[in-house]
Amino acid sequence: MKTRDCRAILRKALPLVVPLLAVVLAAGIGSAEESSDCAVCHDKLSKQFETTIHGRIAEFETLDGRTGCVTCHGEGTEHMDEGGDATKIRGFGDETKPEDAAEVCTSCHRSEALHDWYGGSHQMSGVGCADCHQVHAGPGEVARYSETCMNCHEDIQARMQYPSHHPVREGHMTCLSCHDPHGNSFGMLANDERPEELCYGCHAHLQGPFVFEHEPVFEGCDTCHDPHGSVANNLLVQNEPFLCLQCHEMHFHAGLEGEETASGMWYIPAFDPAVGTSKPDRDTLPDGMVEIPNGMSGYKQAFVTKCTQCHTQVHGSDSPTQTIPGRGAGLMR
Amino acid sequence: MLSDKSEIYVNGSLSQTDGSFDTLHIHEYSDVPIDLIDQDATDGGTAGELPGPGDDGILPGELPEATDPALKFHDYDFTEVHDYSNLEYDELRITLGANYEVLPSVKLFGAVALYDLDDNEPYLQNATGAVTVVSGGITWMF
Amino acid sequence: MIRNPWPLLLIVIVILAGTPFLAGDGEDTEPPEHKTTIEFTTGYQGSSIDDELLRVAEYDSVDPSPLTGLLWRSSPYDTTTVGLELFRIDADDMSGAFELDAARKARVEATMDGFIHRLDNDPVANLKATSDIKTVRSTDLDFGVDHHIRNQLYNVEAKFQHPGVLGLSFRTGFRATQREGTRQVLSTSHCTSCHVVSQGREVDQSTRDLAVGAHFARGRIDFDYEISGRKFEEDGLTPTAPYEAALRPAPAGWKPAEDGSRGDPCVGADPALWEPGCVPASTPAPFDDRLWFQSTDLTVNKIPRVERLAHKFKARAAVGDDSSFKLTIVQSTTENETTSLEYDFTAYRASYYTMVGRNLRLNVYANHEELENDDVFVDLPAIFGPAPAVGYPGFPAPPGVTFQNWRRSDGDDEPAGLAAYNALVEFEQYLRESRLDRTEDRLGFDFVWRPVRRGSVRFGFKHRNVDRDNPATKLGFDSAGNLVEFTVDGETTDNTFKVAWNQRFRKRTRLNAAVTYTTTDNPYANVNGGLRQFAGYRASDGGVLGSTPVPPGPRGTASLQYYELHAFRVADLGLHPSEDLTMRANARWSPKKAKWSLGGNARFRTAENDELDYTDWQRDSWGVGANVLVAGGSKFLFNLGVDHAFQETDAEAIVPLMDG
Repeated sequence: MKTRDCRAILRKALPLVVPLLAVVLAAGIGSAEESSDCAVCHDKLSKQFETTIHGRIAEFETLDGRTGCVTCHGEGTEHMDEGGDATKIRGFGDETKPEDAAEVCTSCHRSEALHDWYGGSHQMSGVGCADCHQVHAGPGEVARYSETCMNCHEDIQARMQYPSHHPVREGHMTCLSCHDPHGNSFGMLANDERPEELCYGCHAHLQGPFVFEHEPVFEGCDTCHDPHGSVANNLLVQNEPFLCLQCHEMHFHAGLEGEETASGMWYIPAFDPAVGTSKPDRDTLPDGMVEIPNGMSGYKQAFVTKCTQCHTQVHGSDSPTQTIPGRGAGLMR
Repeated sequence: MLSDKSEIYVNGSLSQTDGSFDTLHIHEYSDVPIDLIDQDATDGGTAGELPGPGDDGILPGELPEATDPALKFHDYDFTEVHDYSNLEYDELRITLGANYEVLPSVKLFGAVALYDLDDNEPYLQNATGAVTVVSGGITWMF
Repeated sequence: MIRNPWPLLLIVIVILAGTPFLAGDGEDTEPPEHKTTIEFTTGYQGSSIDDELLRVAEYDSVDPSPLTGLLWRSSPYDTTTVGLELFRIDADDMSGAFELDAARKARVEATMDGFIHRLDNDPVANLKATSDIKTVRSTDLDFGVDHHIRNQLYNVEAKFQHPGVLGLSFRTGFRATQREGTRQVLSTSHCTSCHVVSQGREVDQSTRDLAVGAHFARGRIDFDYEISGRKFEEDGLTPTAPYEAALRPAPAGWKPAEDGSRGDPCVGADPALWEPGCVPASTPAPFDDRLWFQSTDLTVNKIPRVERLAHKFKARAAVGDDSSFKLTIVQSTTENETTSLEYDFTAYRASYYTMVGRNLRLNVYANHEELENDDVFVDLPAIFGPAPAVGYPGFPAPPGVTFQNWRRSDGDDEPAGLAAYNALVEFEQYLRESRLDRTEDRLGFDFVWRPVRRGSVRFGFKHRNVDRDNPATKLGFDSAGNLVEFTVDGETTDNTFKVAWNQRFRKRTRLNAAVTYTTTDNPYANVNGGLRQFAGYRASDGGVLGSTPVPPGPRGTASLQYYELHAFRVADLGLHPSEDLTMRANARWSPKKAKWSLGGNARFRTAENDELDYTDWQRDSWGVGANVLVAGGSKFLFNLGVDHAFQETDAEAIVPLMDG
């Protein structure tokens, strides 16, 4: 064959040879070529995809070394040959069952984060990966975690507007601060141990273990608290003192009648043994007096308003309290 | 006004919450169950009968008259204590913000936030308060 | 101009085609393009403040301050990205993030968030009352101080994966929480009378968590192991509070002081010769102060150092094509380093998931947990303070003298049964057995059936058993009327049933509803919660109350408030329900081809406990909500919602009729 003929043949064959060579050279990865095929029609989506983690993923991260569009959508040859027939390729629209879609995702995603996906509450309730994740979106695959959760958990969003709340609406915490939407061995909390250990991650000063215990703490923090929000302060399910009065008797001093003194001042009267407990002697007021504005209802205001004004260490304490009968366990110190 | 160069956002919440307690009242004597012997005792006790009035003619559970020196300073009227712990809040939180792209590499932003809380039933202290925050600035992109 | 570009073009195409292949191996190569994005933000925040910020801006920084922000994102190589983002409002409110992705072999994500938390300052104005010789008073040493804590959270997570070993990755995480500021501390001194002192204390807490783990996945097997440690410290100074001398009426043989306190002992053996004002010898002591310590300053709100170490192992095995078996083992030890108390937690969790045909899913699980905490010998006399007066019997107790035998010093008229009572109730040194010790088991299953396309029905059942090792004890009477102390049943069993329905109709409508019912046998309660109806009250003769011993107190109304009546508080009171029913439903609908949707939810819950032996309670709550979402392309998003919730609790409070 003469050289001139070779050049002519090459000139004609080049448009076919070049793509063929490129396919051969890139066959080891597959993604570049196959994704570029998809980009012919899905140009905008492909460009967006390249900015995502899935677009940047490396071969060694997947167990079969495959990356790119075909990893999730399957082989697209028939789809292309049929002019883009959507039924000839795996889609993830409404016609796909969530568990079928999740099966594709979990074929690669076998990290510790998805270890407990199957059998978890979301998976069993028919929530699929695409319900929360946007695979083709930009770098933020889950658009604003808390807002995604609120699409279904609207009542929780309402609770977060209550006066006492964790700083979720202020943006300093998200649902993922406490929850694992992929599930774990214990439920949907971001913790494989007891739920209380999750609370102690931030509130470690309440962990103890303490010498003097408050038993209901061991039954769960949700005995007294609602972590999503509450009307009463400190995320209490009910305001004091009535929360405490559901398990404890009222303080016996609550039944005392307060003193309505003429001047509203406080004093300690002398004890008269002939009479027994005596009325106060207003003529012998000692120096130094404190104003007592609360009058007849003074003891009720003192003992039936807020138990934790005195019993401050309700989660437990290492320090004993003063009274002997309480055996040091009054949780006041 | 929305365009490719501008963005406006508004978000907020209005919440009215209250936690109130009904008047406490002490049961009538006949409404209250009385056990003289604990039924939970390990060897199985049996409940006693409701005692009648004693030698002084006073039924158990009734309080002697105020002349009793040990009881004259007692007051078991709890009809007001429920008021001490009532809670009622009205809260408005609203934020209005806008971004505007002056040049491809320069953006202006501004926001006004209004937070207003009315504490209609102060508990230990009155938490009523309001704050208005105005912020604005410029972002350069390279 | 090149006359024949095709060979050159061929070479360029080959190079371009080969570059991704080279980069896919994780080797950094010179990219054709260097992408770096930098954003710098500056601005100012001004504010107008009216009244209290405590609740309206509990977590918001509202001080006038400059705003500063920086964002830098770079992709020096095609497979490597680095990003840094910082935003600062003021010293109390700042956030930042850092990201590094080095060819997917090493990935680091770090976040930092700082925010303010405003705290209450209780003015303790309600703690002022006087009656007879008793008073309640309060002193506010930090009046008007705005307590707040500045929180700073740092979180760094790194993951490493070597291209040569498929399926094996390592991770490490570091999390630090720093809390600095001040908060209020209240202390109470008894019998002075009650004196509550409010002061501020410094808060300087740090919690540091470090975790290291590895994950291996190959074929049908997954393994994961993680070890984590935590250290918590409070470096803020622990405040001290005064515990004042108790004031009480003077006992027999003492002349009370002008302020009503004990005063001085009367001189002379013959009471007839005592000076005027001395309490006669025949007058019984009204009460003792019953205080372990007084007339001293002691620490309050002491926060211990805590250390924790946890191990977590997880394994998963695929069984066939549609089933998997999982096992999780967790073991942790938490130690209070200040007291050297520690508790151990061990959990074994297993589950089996399978698909039966195309429409059935089954998950079966079992958990076993053990908690064991150290017991403590509480040596109370060791913390006695100085005696308020020399020679006063009972405080500090002379060797061998207890409050009980001191009170029985004139034992001729000791009521029957008192000795037996005192033998049961100890108020001295004791062994504190931890109520945390327990074993908890769970067994359950979830069954999902999909009878129609896009719809499913879920059935769930869970059985839980909690067996507490050290349940409480309480007094009672046996059938012969003898006073006995017995241990309550510390075992709680509950069964939970759940039915849920989930249905989607095309793209337009989504419905789901669920009903959960839990029944509990022996729910947790405070078995010594309240004094039961005081039967057999008798007015006494001669002004001495209750001289006839009648249950529940050994000496009727003369029973000492704490020492004797306290032990007779045997009414169960509790917050945990014996029955709990929850119903919830939510729905979302969107018209065809419309860009808006309407959602609604409703929930109802009723919980009650009618197993308590003296009282019962019930709590009902319900709520409804609705919201509309309009998404008009990428430039318009509107979301409006309204929610109404109501909760009502009907319970009884026990009001004691005795004073002390």
